[in-house]
Amino acid sequence: MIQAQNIYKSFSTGKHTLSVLKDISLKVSAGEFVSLMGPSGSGKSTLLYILGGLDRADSGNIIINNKEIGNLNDTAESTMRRVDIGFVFQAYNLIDNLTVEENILIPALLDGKKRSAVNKQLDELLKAVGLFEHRKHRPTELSGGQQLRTAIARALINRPKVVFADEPIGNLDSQSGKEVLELLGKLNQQYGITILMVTHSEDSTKYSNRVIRLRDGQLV
Amino acid sequence: MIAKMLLSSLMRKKARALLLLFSIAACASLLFANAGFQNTIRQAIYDKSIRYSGNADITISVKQSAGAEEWIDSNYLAPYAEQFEYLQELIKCQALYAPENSDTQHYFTALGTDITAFNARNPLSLESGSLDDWFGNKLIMSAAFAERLGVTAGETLLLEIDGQKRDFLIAGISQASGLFARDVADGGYLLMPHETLTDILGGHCNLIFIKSYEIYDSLSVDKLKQTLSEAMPQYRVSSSVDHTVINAETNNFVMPFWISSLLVVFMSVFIIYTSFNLIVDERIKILGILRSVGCSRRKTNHILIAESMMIGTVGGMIGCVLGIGVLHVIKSMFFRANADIEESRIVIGLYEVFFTIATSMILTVLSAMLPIFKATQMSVKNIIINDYQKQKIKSDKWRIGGILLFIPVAIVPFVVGQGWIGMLIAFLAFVLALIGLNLIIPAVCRFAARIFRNAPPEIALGVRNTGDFKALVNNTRLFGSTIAIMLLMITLFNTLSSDVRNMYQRDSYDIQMELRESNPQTLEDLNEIEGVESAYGVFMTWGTVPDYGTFLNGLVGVDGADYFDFYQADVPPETRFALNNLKDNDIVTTYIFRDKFGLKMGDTLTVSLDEGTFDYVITGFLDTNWGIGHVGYISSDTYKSHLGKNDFSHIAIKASGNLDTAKSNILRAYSKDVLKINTKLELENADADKIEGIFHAINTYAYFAMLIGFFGIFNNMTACFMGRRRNLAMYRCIGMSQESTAHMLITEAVTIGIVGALTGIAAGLLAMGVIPLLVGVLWGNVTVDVPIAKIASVCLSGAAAMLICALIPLMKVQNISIMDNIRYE
Repeated sequence: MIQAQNIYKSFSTGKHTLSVLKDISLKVSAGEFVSLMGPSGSGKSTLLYILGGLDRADSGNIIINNKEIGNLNDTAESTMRRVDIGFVFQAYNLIDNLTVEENILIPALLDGKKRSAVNKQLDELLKAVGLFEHRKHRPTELSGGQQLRTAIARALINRPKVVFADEPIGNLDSQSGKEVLELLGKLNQQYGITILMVTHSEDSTKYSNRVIRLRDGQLV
Repeated sequence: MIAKMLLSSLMRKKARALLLLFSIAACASLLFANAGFQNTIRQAIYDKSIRYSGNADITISVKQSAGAEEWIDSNYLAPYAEQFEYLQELIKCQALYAPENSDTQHYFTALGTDITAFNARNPLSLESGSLDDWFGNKLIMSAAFAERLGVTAGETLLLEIDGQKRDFLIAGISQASGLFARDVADGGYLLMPHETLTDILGGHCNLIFIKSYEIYDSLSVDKLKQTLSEAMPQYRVSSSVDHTVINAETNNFVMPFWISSLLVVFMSVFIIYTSFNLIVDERIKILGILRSVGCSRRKTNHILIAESMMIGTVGGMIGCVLGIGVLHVIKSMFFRANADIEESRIVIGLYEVFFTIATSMILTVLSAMLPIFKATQMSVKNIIINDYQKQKIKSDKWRIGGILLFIPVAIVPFVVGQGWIGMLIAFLAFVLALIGLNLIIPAVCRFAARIFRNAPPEIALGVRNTGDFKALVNNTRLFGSTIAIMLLMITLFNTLSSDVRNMYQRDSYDIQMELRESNPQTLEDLNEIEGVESAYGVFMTWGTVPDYGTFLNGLVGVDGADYFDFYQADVPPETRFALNNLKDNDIVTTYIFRDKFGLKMGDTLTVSLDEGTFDYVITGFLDTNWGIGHVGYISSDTYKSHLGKNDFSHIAIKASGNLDTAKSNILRAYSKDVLKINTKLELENADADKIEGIFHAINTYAYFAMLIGFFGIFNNMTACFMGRRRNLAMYRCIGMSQESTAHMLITEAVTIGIVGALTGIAAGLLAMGVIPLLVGVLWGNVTVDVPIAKIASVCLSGAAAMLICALIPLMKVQNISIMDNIRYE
């Protein structure tokens, strides 16, 4: 499902160059729930963004769902982000001026689907994440947990094969965090969605099948 | 230290800080150009006023009335000689140019003078020839008339003076400056050696110019003038420069600029406010941190206001520099109208610099206060936990208030009369309409979003964003306001321009002439000439109205209302009755005069003429803006009695058939008795500089204002893009391609353009009704003349500007790093 080979990434900080990822190679099989752990600054979020095509590696190859993402043009890469991948961010990254259901629908509409064609799926997702009653609300009117669940529903609207989650419960209280992790686990188990989740918390890893650890830009 | 921290945070946002500074500078440059141009206009009018007298303070001439002395005895001035820096004696007479075998005939005004003294008083700028060997039959003439007659320096001109024909050598041809500044309109001057005219005419002097050692202000001039008038009652003693006239004329020209300035201020405040809003928004985190470590709200406010003062001051200073460029462009447009006119120098001083910097600083502080207070009122906790950026979707309830604010501008034209108060109310009504426009625009955008909700997602999102994002709403507001203001300004200027241009066309006469001698019999004789339909003799002079510190540039002696069969004015029936029954000291004056000075029927108007001071009782008002509307009509009998003149000042003629034929027939019949004869078109062309220049200038000013508005939009669009990078990155990370993002941004720009243009045009059209009130007090009744082509060009320019603005985010969206912006908090 996800295959990364010899990934290098560095950032320039004025006079200095900081190597963030050093020769990372990994594989994630279809249907796996993988936690990516490591201390702050270890490069886990950077790796997630590179694997998801949101950032480019300095060198190395990444294959997702049999597609070499380094060779994709912007349109193909956007299509991949829309269809094959779903993202869930710690800061939710919802569009403030759209309602919950509009936020969830955007990737489907961008993919050329008619609203009528996805209405049923939308309702199902809203019920699954417990936001059916809040479908007309705007993100600013929701709690952190509700926003995160909206982001999860948005990530799933196009039935992606893989979901990347960047510290999804970092901003939530423990109860809300637990509910979200249970939801992700359920998605993984019931629908076979591959999940790659960046987390700080050891507790979170109990929902995953495998833990990949990073330290100073290298797999441990 | 806190101030340093805030300043350094401002400087870190270099692009935003630069945009803010440039917004302020651009607005300040227009204010500076406006202030400078008023001075330049004043200087131009002053230069025009002193073209005859140069730097002299007092002019003494012979009276024109019957029985007046022909020559001046300068011995009367001997007792005052010690007060004079100089006293120049000249001879003024008519010189007829009438070449044989030609119908061409022209009376020049010849001035016999010592050329060195003349040059010291009123400097000459020769285009060709020289001032050397100034004796014998020589002359200096203007380049304009030399070109008209097809002569050059070194050639001779056959002139007839007092019955003597002589060949005069053209010793020099002068540029359009000094005496020759408006030579075509003045009818043409010729300078000749003093002795030559003494030899021909037998007299020594009939015109004297005096400059006093002790005169420093107009009050001293008046005092000396009074003394000399009393000592020499047989002559006409006048101030060379009448500041009352200059002020009144300047105010008339400057008024449209003041109205424009107020609109520019409105626009500036909006631009600066939106820019400041963005810059404060971006620094809220720093403010929150400062507050959290103990900096009080009051202290934070003070620091930010001091910062805005500093930015306003620097912006004002840059604006002064930019303003000089703007002023040069406006000035060159002003003087472009007539190449024969000397270009006045640009007049700017410390006052203009101080005014611009101070205004810029005050406007910046006022515009910045709201964003500053909003930022410092925020909960420190919300800022610290990053909970302050939540976008509030405002309800559309304000649209009702917005619509209500349009009511005044719609009804004011029908319920408010002309006058200073009417002008103020009209301006306030327009400002309320602009505020209303700003209130309804979000609702209009959201209405558009509803219409397009089923469009492709990037289109639907683009339209929707224009109603939801504050910066985009502000852009639409700014664009709409700019269009509305431009429409009002362009239409106002076009209305005034048409009014002045049509002034000649509205008059019913075809030819105007001055004869050496004319009386009622002349009119009867004229009526017998082939091509003349009818003729009317006009008595006209000018005088001051000391009680109101102004002047009448037309005191007209009329025989009933027949005058208005030749000269256009709106004369109400009761005023027509008053005109037909003018007697003794009755006077009919204009609505403009009434509105400016609060006159009413039965009031006494004291008019000071060379021949004395007379009290007239107002018996009626009429509507004309001839002579900026400072006109009074008295009976011809009263005129003749008060001025001691029986000859008509000029005669208005209606022609039947071909005008040139009628003019030739008149010339043939009266030959050398014709001092001046011009068709209406010739008079209009001679006055073209006066008519066109100011309107070229104010149109240029309007276009600069538009440029500033578009710059504000450009500025907002850029700043808005900077603030929206995260939002755009969010779209990108959920699968919106660059192409779709570009479509969304283009849709936003097009929506802003369409909504802004439509609402702006609607507000502008509605506001056009107040134009007669805005200008009525100075220009009288005007018919609003909507310049469709110009409005279309403004809208097209607006559309082009919006597309250019859209290119900024389009160019930048390619380079957005999704990761950097998504992770940015």
